[in-house]
Amino acid sequence: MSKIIQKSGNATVVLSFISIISFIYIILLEFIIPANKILPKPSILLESIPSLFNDYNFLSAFLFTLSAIYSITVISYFLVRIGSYLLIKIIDLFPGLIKLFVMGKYFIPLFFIFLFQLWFGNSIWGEYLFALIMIMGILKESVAVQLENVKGEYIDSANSLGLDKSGIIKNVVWKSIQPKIFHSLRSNHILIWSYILVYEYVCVTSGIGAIYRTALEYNDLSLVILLIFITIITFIVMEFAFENIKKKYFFWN
Amino acid sequence: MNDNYISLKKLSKVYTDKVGYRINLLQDISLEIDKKEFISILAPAGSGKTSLLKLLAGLIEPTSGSIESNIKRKPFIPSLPSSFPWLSVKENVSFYSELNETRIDEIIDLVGLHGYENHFPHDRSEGFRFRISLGRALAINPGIIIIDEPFNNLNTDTRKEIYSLVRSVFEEKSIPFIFGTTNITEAIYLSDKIHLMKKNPGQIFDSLPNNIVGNRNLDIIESKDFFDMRERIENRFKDRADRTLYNFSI
Repeated sequence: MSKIIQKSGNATVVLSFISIISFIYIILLEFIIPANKILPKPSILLESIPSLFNDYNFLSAFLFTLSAIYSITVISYFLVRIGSYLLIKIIDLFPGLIKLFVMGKYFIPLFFIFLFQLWFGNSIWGEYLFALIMIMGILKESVAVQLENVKGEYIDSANSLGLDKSGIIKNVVWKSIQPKIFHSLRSNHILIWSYILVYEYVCVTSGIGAIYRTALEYNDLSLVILLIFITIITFIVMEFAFENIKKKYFFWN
Repeated sequence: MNDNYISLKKLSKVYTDKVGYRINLLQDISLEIDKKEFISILAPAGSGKTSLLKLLAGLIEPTSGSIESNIKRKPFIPSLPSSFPWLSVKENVSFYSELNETRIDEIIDLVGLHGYENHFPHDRSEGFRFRISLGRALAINPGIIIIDEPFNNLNTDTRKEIYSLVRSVFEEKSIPFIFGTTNITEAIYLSDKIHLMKKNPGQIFDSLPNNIVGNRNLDIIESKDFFDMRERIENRFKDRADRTLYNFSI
């Protein structure tokens, strides 16, 4: 079975799964149990789409959330790369920091969200700064963990070819951990989305998280379900984009 | 003494393990390398061979003793694949090299990778990756090439190819090679001189010039001279308690 799934490709499997779920949802809730308190009818969901764009300014919120997640991810990557020499030196001196990075990933965001709400209110710069700190934290943790797994053969070879320490860090150590860092970004993709949505929900910025909050305040179930659906689809599309980036730029492992 | 030389004098290396126990890995090793020879260090596993080769390459420091050398570039090819998987064959070979493109192409040709210049090594065989490492070592104009038993995971046919390749590169380039191995057959086939090493602590206890003369081809492995040489080496190890060499026929 797993071989069949691999042959047919992840995209086909995921799209098939979504199609089946959507089909079941339409048949079940449009025709069999249209009146219920759990999920709205698909036709009501469709009717909510214009409201989402007109009343909630969805397009702007959607682009804002995407930029907070993905443009800040790219910026964080380059900042960590620029500071990699220093980071490697610090971790070399204080290996205990790795554990702090790993543990801090889960509870530090909570403190930041509350502090940032007090400091920045609903400012978009507050959200960008929050995203930068969180994503850089994830990248730093990943770099710290992966540094322990750099193959000694690469370092010995480079050293014997005459590279100095900074040359080895730049051309060998940093390069060799790239696929793992990218993998870590992918595996934390859902966590990053969660951070940003929760931040937007709590601080009521201009993103999707704020629309969730408004929809919940008005008990607009169909809008919440629609938002969940859009969030999942966006997440999956970006996962495919990640997969293609990996194949093109981080193919070795 | 030739232009290029490495001289080890009473070299020792002591490691302290995690529980604080001191391990006398290498003790009083003296060695002179001053000819364009192919030298093997034949030793049982765990005898400190890799540490000795790393000392020769300048990758680690001895605990006591001295290393004198006027060779600046001493590329070390480790036992596990060391070609960089994020670089193509050509990028790997030209990595940190000052040679022009024509010379790089010649080296790629020499190590048998012509036509694979734009391939990446990450999903290739260990034989392929060894060729890249050898090419990369040649491309920095080395004074010596140090190889640490890279053939362990190769199948028999690939081993034969790589033996021939290494020996032909040595003969064409006239660069001294130092080769660490646990395998008597490859030590005899490749080397001009074989240093025998024991373990606990690691020490060179004998050095034998190879009596195989003339053109090296794989047929000599079946020759009487080859068997005689092997017997000589085995007898030297028989006299010691640590006769644990891995031996095989190709």
